[in-house]
Amino acid sequence: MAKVKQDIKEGKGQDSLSSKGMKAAEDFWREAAKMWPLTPCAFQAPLGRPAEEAQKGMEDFLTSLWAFWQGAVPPAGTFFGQEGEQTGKGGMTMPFLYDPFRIFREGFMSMQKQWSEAGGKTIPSVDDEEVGQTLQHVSRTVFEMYGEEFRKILNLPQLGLTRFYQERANLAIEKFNKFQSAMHTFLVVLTKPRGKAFQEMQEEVRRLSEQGEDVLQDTKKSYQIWIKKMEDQYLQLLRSPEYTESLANTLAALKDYRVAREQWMMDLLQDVPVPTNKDMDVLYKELYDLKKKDQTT
Amino acid sequence: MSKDPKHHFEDLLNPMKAAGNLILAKAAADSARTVKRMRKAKDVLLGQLNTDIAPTPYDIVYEEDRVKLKHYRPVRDIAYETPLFVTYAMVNRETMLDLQHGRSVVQRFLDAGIDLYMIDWWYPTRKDRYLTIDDHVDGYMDSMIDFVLKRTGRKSVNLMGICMGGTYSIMYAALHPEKIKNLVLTVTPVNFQTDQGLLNVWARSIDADALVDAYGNIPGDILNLAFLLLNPPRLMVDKYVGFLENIDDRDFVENFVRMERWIFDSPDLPGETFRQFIKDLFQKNLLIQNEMELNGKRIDLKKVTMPVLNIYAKYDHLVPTEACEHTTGSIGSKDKEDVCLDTGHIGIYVSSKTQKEFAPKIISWLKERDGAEEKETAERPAKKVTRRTRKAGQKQE
Repeated sequence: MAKVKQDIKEGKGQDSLSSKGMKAAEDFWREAAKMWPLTPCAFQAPLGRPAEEAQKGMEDFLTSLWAFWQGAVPPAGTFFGQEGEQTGKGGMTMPFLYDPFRIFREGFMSMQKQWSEAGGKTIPSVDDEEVGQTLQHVSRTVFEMYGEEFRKILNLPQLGLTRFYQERANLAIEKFNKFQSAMHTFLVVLTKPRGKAFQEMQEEVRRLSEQGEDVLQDTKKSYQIWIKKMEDQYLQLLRSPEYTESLANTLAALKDYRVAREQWMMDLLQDVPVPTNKDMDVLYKELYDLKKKDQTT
Repeated sequence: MSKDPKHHFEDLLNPMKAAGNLILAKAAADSARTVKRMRKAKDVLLGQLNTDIAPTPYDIVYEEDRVKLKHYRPVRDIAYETPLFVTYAMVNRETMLDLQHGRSVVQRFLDAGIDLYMIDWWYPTRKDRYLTIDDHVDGYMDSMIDFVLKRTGRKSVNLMGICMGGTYSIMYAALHPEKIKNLVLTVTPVNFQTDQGLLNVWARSIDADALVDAYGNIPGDILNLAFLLLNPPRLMVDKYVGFLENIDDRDFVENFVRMERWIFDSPDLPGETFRQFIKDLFQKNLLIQNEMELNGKRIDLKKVTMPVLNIYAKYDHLVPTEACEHTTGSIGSKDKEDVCLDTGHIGIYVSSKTQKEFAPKIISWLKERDGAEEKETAERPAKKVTRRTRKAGQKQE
């Protein structure tokens, strides 16, 4: 592993696409490791260890992980037909067997490169924004980046006997991702009033202190001020178009996910002697129509 | 202050010591009180708690599919010629009207000698997902009212509706006015075009078709969550802080747990009923415009000609006043009355103050209009609409 890292440092094999992809991936993860302590959800340094040590540990871990990945994947030319033939290394020239793996690996590395480029432009500076906006921005970045890239894979046309089942499975996964994204945004919107309520509470406490009332000593009074501010902020939020729009989007995403999931589940249940919702709904509708017909005659 | 460094230091320490002692003494006293309360709370929580709800005995006298008709056992001679048929909402359960001894509208009606029937919508299953408002109003309600009429030998019943059940009741009264002697509406939305209530605001932006297609029946848990989101700080935080503050009070704990049992006992809502309610009522507001149709029959509120008592709550966050106060102006009754109480949606039934106001008002209003069926309302001079905002507990002027 140390030799591999050395090779990378010395820039050997940088001409090949996969090496470049590896380098880009490693850079991405190194930057991610640096950014990690700045995010609101950063882990706390273990007790007794300074934060810089913990951060360095994280960087080393991620770098090692990628170095291991590089070591696990054969260097360009070992197995893959054309390069192997050219360099004379490896000697296993069965491109028809290993080409799919090569295509997948190179495609994956290419995606990593794209992510790192996208991530480099959009990872926010947490110094400048409120936590709520940051979370919203990060979630949009992560879910949209992730969604855009993976959606392309999930929407690949399926072939063969199981194509319909695979399509439905992919659709369920895609809809789940969309629902998670919408849900995350909704929860971020729902938690917005907390910060504002707390600020207003601080101002109220300051104002009362200036009038000679020491509210902080009286926990009950402090709590009552806080809960009133929270209530006021929430009543404002709950009427706002931002909330209703987010709610509507979340419910729409939930519906899409449930419908897709149910279709996938029905595929799975086909081989099991269990009636599905669809089967029962057809039966219930028939019963209902029969009863209505009986009542009218 | 002493100039000797040692004494100087002690002088500095003394006020700090005094303050520290005071803080420690307060903490100790608080701690002692807290420990005492916690011991009492432990006895309360681990002891015998009476949290049963709906204690008043009844018989199931009619069943159709999942829907049941309760007849409450009389506790004295029947003093009213006309039986009272109560229709509750399909959201939550009708057990709220009989929450506990001392806070039971049902018991008050029975004590007054009313012959009381109540519809129980029970718990819909997936089989019920295709049932519409038509089926509930012009189906189940009609069958059960016919049953009561046949059982009692009467030509009409007094009909009382609560919330969504009141909406059903006014629809029924418009379709079958000959079967209804007097109509009592409580916290009943008839006009849905208002921004006073959050439910009205939200309902206009949701896609009811999407929810019904996704779920079939709308789960009770989702309805519960929606109601909690109406005021998250109060309903999810403050309520339980209040509980903890009174956790050593047995009566408080019992009442609280009873209310929790009722409030989270939410049946699912049949999908087509939900779809129709949201689209035809919340979004298109067809009822008050006399454009609603059930089983192909148009509901004309002007056909509601029997005496109507319309009670609603000033601080109702679910059914705002704007949803209720236009009702008496839309119907054809000459004898009609609005009463607006200074309370909330649930408080109107369970608050100890309104117990002295709400049920007695209905009892006396029905008594004035009871009697043999050959007495027509035309014999009584038409009563002007009165709108009173009365604080719960305040005597009638």
